[in-house]
Amino acid sequence: MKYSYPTQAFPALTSLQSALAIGLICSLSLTGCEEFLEGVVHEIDFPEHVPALAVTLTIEEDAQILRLMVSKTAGVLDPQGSEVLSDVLANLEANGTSWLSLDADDFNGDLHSLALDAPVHLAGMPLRLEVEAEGLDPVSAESTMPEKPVALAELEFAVDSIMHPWTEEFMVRDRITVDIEAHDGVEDWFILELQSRFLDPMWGDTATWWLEYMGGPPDPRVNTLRRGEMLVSDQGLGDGDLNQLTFFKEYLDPDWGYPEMEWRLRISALSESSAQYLLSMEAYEQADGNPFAEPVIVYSNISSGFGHFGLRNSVIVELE
Amino acid sequence: MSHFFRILQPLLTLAAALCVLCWSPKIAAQSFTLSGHVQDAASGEQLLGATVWCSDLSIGVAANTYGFYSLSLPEGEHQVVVSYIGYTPQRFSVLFDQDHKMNVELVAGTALGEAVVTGEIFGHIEEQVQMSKIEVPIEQIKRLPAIGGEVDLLKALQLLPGVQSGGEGSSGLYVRGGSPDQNLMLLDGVPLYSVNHLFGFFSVFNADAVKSMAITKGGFPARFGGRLSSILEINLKDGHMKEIHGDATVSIIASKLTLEGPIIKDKASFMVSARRTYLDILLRPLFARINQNENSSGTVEPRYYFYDINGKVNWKVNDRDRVFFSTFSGTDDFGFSTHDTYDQSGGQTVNTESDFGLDWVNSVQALRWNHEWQPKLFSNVTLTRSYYRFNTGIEFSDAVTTADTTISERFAALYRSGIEDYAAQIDFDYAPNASHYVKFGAKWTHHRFSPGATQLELDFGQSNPIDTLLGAMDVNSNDSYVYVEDEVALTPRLRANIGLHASMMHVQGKTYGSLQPRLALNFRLPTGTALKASYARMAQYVNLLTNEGLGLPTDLWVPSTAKIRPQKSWQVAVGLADTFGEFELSLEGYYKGLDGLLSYKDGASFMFNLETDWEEQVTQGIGNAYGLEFLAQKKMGRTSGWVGYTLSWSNRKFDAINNGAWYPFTYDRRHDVSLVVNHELGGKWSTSAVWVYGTGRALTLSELMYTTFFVDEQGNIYEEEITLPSGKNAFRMSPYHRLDVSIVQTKTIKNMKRSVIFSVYNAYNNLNPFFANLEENNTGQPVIREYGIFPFLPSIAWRLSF
Repeated sequence: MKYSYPTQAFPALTSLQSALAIGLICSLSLTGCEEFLEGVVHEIDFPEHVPALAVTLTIEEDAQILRLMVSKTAGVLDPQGSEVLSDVLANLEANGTSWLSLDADDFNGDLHSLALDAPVHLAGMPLRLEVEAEGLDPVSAESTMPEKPVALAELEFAVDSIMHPWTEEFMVRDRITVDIEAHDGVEDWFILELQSRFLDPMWGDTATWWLEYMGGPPDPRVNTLRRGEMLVSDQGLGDGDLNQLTFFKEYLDPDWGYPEMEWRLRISALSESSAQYLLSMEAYEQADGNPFAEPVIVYSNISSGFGHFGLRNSVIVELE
Repeated sequence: MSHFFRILQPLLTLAAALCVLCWSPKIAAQSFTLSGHVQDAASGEQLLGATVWCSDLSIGVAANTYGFYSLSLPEGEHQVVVSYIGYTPQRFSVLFDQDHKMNVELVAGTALGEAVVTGEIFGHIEEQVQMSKIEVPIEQIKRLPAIGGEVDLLKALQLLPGVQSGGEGSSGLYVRGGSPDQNLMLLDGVPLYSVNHLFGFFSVFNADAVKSMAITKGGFPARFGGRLSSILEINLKDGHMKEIHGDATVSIIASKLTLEGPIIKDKASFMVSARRTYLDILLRPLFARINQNENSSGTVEPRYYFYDINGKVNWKVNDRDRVFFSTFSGTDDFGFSTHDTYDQSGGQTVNTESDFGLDWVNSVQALRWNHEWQPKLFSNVTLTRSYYRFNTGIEFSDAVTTADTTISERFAALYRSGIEDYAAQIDFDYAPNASHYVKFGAKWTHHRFSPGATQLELDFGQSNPIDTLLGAMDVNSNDSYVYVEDEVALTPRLRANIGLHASMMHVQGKTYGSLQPRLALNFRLPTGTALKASYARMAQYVNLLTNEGLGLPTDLWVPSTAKIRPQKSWQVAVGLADTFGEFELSLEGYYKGLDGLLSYKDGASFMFNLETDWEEQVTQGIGNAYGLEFLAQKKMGRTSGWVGYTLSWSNRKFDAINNGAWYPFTYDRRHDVSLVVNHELGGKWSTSAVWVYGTGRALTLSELMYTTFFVDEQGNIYEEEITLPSGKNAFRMSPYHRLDVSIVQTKTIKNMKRSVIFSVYNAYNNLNPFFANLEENNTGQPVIREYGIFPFLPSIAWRLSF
C-alpha cells in the first residue's frame, strides 16, 4: 500500500513557512534542552523586610540579676544580620505597678543587665514588659509568674541494668522518682534538670553544678529535651496528676571507680509561654540542617515583635 | 456494640420510612418495570451512566456502574430513548403492561439523522440531581498533550475547576482545598492508597485500560464515605466480548500494550494491560561506558523504572448473574549503587560497596458478583484487597582482604511503611416506582497499618551483629458503614437525593462513630436552568502524614487511633447548571469546614527521628475552604473541550503550628484557570491544546533573623542568631502558567489504526517553579531561587490499535 500525506485536511504550508516552523521548533527545543541540563533557575524578588524589635528576657523568682537582650530584626538577604541594640528603654510592671526599667546605661556586652538588691517575690503576679527603641514600633508582652513547685524526689542507686544496643556493654541504671503537685483547672509546666558536682576537689571544681543527662520510659507527660532536661506537663490530661514520674541515669560498670558526686534536681515551674518557647526552640534545633524537616516558626509572645518574655520559679531537691 | 446500634438507629428508621413509602400499594400497583443492561454493540462493554429516558413523561434513569438500569413507569405505552455520549441513541415504543427485560446495544458514533432532539436525552447536567460531579470522556483525555507522550488521567483531572495539582509535574489532586489523602481513589471500586509513579510525575492509571472516569467534589451521595474531599471513580474496561483487540503505544518514556477479547464469545472476556518505562535500559550502555572511562576503580550504577499491570476477567454467568475479577499491580524502583576496589599498603585489597534504594509497590484485587434479584432489585457483592508498601534504605559494606584473612563490616538501615486492607461490601439498587430510586448497602474493612519502622543492621565484627527494629509497630483497625439513599421526585420541578451514611471504626480498644446526613436538591427554574444545592457530612479514619516540602512517596498512611481523632468535614454547595446547545455550563459556590486534620508539628520529620513515635510528631487542627467554580464543557463535536475557572481560599489552624494562628494551606490557590481544546482538523489530523494558569503555591521561607541568648547552668552566656519565617506559608511562588499542544496523525491500514502523536509540553518555555530555595549567588549575596524542572519538552509517541 502506498501512503500519502493529506493535502486537503491539513493546512498546506509553503516551504518558507515550513522552514520557519522547523526553525522555531528547533530553537525552542535547543533552548529547552539547554535549560534542562543546567537546571531551570529563576531568581525572584523577596518581600522587603520591615525591621522589628526582638526581645529576650526570662525572669526567675529569687533571681539576683536580670538579663535582657534587644535586637533589631534583619531580612535574610541582609548580609550584616540582626543588630543588638543598646539604646532602648524597657519597663517592667508587676501587678499593674511600675517595678523596674532598663536603658542604655545598663548595657554591657550585648546585654542589658540589672543587679537586684534583694530577692523579689513575684509568684502569682502578672508581669508586663514594654520595650521601645527609636525608629521601631514598641513591643510588649505579658505573663504571670508561676507558683513555686512543690515536689518530692527519690534517687535509688543501681536498680537495674541494660545492655547498650550499639556497644553491647552493660549499663547500670539509677532511678529517680519524682512527684510534683499539679494545680486543678490549669495546665502545669515544669522543667526538670538533673545536676551533679564533685565532692572531692581532687576530681574537679566542687562549687560548679553540671547538667547531667536523664532518660526515661515513654510517658505522655514528659518531653525529653536535647540536653537531657525533662519538660513535664499535664497538658491535655485534664487535672491529671504528675506523680510517679520516673527517670533513669545510666553509667558503665561501677567497678571502674567513679568519683563521689553530689546530686540534685532543679525543678522549675514555667509560664506556658516559656514552655511553648522551649518546645519550639527544641524543634528549631532539631530541624536545623534536616532537609526533610518541617519549617519551624519559633514561638513568640512579644506582640508586634519577636522573641520571648519568660518566667520561671524553681526549687532544688537534693537527691541522697 | 450498643454504640453501633445507636448509630444505626436513625439509619434503620430512615430505611423503614423509605420502604413504607416505596412499597405504598397505591404506587406499586400502578407501575411496571423495564430493566436490563446497556452495552456497546461492537464490544459488549457495559455503558455505565447510559441514560434511559421516557420522553412522554420526562422521567429517566441512568445505568449504574455495571450498565444495569431499571425504569418503572405507569401502565400504558411509552416512548423510551436510550442514549450515551458518543453513541447513536435508540428509540423504542414499549407497552408497560407487565415487567419487561430489555438489553440495549448502542452503536458508537452519532449517525446523521439519528440525532435526538435536545430535551429528549436524560442526563444533561441540569437533569442530574448530583452536583459537583464531572465526567471526562477517556477518548478526549487520550488526545491531550502529555509529558513524554504519556497520557495521564490525573493530570487531565487537574484541568477541571476545583481540582488542583500539587505543583509542576505532580499527579497529586487537591480538591476544594483538601489534601490528597482526602480523595477516595477507587479503581473498580477498590481504594488505592498511592497513585503515583516517578515521584508523582505520572499516575498509576493507564489510560488504555480505563473505560470511564468521574470525580465528585461535593454533594456526596450516601453510598460514598471514608474521605472528606472527593470520590474518584475509575472503571477498567471489561474486555471485548466478540473478538480480540489491542492497543500498543510507544513513547519516549514508556511502552504499553493492552489486549482484550473473548474467552467464550458473548459469555466471558478478558482485558490485560501492561506498561513499563525503559530509561534504565536505555541508559545502561551509557553508564557502562562512563564507568569504563573513569580513571577511578569505582563504578556507579543508577536505576529507575516503573511498571504496572491491569487485568480483568468478566464472566456473564447467565442473564441475572455476572462475575468480575480485576487486579492491578504497580512498582517503582529507584536507586543507585557504587562499587570500588583498590589496593592499599600492607598488601591489603579493599572492596567497598554502597546501595541506596527507594521503591514502592501498589497492588489491588477485586472480585465482584452482580445479581438481578428481580427487575426492580439489583445487587453487587465485592471482596477486595488493597496493598501499599514503601521502602527506602541505604547500605554500606567494606571488606579488607589480606593474604589469609578477610575482615568485613556492614551497615544497613531500612525504613518501611505501608498499609493493607481487606474489605467486603454489598450494595443494592432498588427502583420501586417512577418516583424513587433507592440505593442501600454496607461495607466492612480491615486495615493493617505499618506506619513507619526503621530496621538497623550493624556488623562491625563484634560477637553479635546488631539487627534491631526501631519505630512504630503495626496498628490494626476495623471500619464499617451502612447507608441508604433515595433519589426522589418530590414535585415535577424538584428532585432530591436524600441519604444517610453511618460509619464506625474500632482501633486500639476505642470506637469512633459518625452519622453523616446527605442531601442534594435540584429545582428546575421556569427557564429550564437547574438550581442545585447540596449538604454532606463526611468522616475519615485514615490519614496521610506528609512532609509538605517533599513530593516523595515517603508519606505515611496512619490510622485514627486512641489518641488521634478521625477527620471530619461538612460541605454546603449551591449552583446553577444548564445546557446551551452543545455546551454544558455550571457555576457552583461551596464552603467546607474541616476538623481533625493531621499534620507534622513544626520541625518534625519522618526520618532521622528514630526514637520518636509518629503520634508524638503530629498535631491535629481545623481548616476551611470556600470558593466559586465555573465550567463550560463541550463533550461532542468536531471541536470539544472545556473552560474552567476557580476562585478559592483554603486555610488551616493547628495549635502546634504557626503559633496556633490561622495560615493559608500550602495549596491555597486564589485563581485557577484551564482551557482545553480538542479539534478535528479533518482527514487524518487532529490537534489539542491546553493552557493553564494558577496562583503561585504558598511557601514557608526563612525570611528574617534576630539575636537571642541563653544561659547555661554555670552562668555562661551564649548568643545565637535565629533565622525563621515570619509566618507559615506567608510567601508565594511565582504564578504557574503553561501551554501544551499536540498534533495527532491517524491512518487506518486494513483493520489497524496507526497514530503518531507529536506533543509539546510548555510550548512557550515558561519557567514554572518546582521548588524555591534560599541560596548564595556568585558574589556571596543571599538570593531566593526558584527551580523549574520542565522547560519546552517536545515528544513523540506511536500508537497502534487493532
